[in-house]
Amino acid sequence: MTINDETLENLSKLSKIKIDDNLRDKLKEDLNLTMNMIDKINKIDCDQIEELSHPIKDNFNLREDVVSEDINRESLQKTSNKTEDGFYLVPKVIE
Amino acid sequence: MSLETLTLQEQIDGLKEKKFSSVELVENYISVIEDKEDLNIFVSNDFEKALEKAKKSDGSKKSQEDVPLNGIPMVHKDIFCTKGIKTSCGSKMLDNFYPPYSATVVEKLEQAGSICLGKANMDEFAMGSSNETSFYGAVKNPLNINKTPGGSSGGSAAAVAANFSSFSTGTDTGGSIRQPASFCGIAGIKPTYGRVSRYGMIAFASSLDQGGILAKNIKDAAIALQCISGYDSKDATSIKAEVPNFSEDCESSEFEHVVGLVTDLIHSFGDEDLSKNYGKAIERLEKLNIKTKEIELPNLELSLPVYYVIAPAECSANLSRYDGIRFGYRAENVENLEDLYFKSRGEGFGNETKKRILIGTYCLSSGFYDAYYKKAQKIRNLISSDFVNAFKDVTSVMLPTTSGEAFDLGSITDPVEMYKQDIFTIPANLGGLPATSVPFGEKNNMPLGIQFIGNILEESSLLNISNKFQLGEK
Repeated sequence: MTINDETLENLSKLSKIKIDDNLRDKLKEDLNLTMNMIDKINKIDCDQIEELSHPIKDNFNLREDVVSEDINRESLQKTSNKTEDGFYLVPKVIE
Repeated sequence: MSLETLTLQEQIDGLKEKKFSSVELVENYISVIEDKEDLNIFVSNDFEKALEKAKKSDGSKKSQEDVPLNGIPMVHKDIFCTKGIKTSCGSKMLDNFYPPYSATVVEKLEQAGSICLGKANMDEFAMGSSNETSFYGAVKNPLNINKTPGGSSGGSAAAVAANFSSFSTGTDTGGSIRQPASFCGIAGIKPTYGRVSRYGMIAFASSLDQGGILAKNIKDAAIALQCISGYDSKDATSIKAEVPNFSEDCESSEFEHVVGLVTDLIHSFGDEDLSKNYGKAIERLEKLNIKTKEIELPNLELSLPVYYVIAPAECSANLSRYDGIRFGYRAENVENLEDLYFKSRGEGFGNETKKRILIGTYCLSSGFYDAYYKKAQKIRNLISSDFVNAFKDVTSVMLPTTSGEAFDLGSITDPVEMYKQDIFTIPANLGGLPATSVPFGEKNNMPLGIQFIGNILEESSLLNISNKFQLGEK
C-alpha cells in the first residue's frame, strides 16, 4: 500500500487540508487505486528524454512592466469578509 | 418558429433580417430555462440584465463587423470570472465569490455583442467527468435525465442540448469540453493551448487548461471561437498569432485533408461497439473522398497515468491560493491561523478536489518528485512527439471522443474507472493540440462522438474537416 495512515497525515499537513476521520478509509482506498494506475509510468524507460513542462515551445510573452490595471485594493478586498483599514484580518499570530 | 432551437448562424441571420428581436430571443430562452429548472444546469442567472442588454442591442446601430454576436444570448461555464456576478467554479469554496474583474473570454464575448443568460454548473474546480463533484449537485443530461451530461463542462453542454442557448463557453483540461459535447450530442472545440486567454479563467492545471466553445454544430463553434481567440497581454502563455477567419475557413473548399487513423489501437480496446462506430466514421470519410492514412500513437495509453500526475501536481499548487483569508470560504470557530487554513480548506473543498490536491502533493513531495513528476513530464514529451511525427504525414488525427455513451448518474464509484473516461481526450491536452468533438453514432439511444485532433494553431483546417464530417454526404 503506497498511502497508509502516516502518509495521509503527512499529506494533510503539507496541503493544509483537515481530513475528517470518517473520510480517511475511503480516501486511502481511492488514493491507492489512483497511485496503482499512475505507477505504470515506472515501467517506462525514458532517461534520455527531455521533460516537457509546457506544450508550446518558446512561447512566453511577458508584458511591459508598467502599471496598467484598474483593480484597486478596495475592490479586491470586497471579496474578503474580514478586513480593516485596508488589511486582512487573521487570528492573532503574535502573543 | 421555435427561436430556442435555432443555430447560432440562424440567429445571427434572423436578427440581421429583423425576423425576430434580441428581446424575443432572450424571453424565449428564459421561458425554456424556467421550464427545465430540474436539469440543474444554472448555478446563477442574470435574466434582468440580459433583457436590458437585449433591448439595447435591438436599438443598436453598430455594424455586424463590430459586434458579430450582437443580441445573441449565451451561457458561460461558471469557471469564467464575471465582474460582480457570482463565480463559484462548482465549489463551496467560492460560493460567496463575486469577482472584481471579468475574464478576457467574458469581456471579448461582451464586446462581440453577446448577452450572458447565466452561469453553468460544472464539476468542482473542473475536476470530474460526470458533473457529480459539483457543490450544487449533478446536472442531468437533457436527452435522458438518469444519465450524466459528462464533465467538467457538463452544465455548458446540457445548456446547448436543452436549448438554453445556441452556444456556451467551456474549458478543457483533459477532455472537459469534448466528453460532455459527445454525451449531449453536440459539437465542441478545445483550441490550441494559448489560442484563448486564460486570464480570469479559474486555474486547475495551468499547462493543460484551455477555454473553448460548445455549440449545436461545428460552424457555430467556429463563429464563437473566432470571438474569444487572440493574444492577451494578461496571460503570459497566450500566443501572439493572427486569428484566422474560422467561420469562413470552416466552409472553405481550399483545404486538403489527410486524416490519420489508429484502427488497430481502437481494436485493441476489445470493445466491439467502439470499433464499429470508429469503422463507420472511416466509411464516412471514404464517402466524402477524404484521404486517410493509418498512423501509430504508441504511447497513447500512458496519457492517463501521466495526466494524473501532472494535473494534480499543478492543481495542488494552484489551489494553494484558497487560504480562507483573501477570498472564498472562511471557517468559523478557529483556534489560530494554522487552524484557519486547515479548516477552511477541509470544509471548503469537496472530496474529489481534496483527493487531487493530495495526489499532487504526494507526487511533488520530497523523494517522489523525480519518480513521478519529472518522469511524467518526460513521458508527456514522448506522447507529444508521437503527434509531431504523425503530423508529418497527416493533417488531423481521428479518434473516438469517449469509449462509450453517457453513463447513469451515480453508476461509477471507482475513481480510476471515472478517470478512464478521458483516455482519448487527454493526449490533445498534453500536446497543447486543438481538438473537436462531432456528434456521430449512438449507443443505447444515447449519442456518441468522434474526435478530430489538429496540429498546433491549425484550427482552420481542423474546423474544416470536422464540419465536412459533421455534414456528411452532400
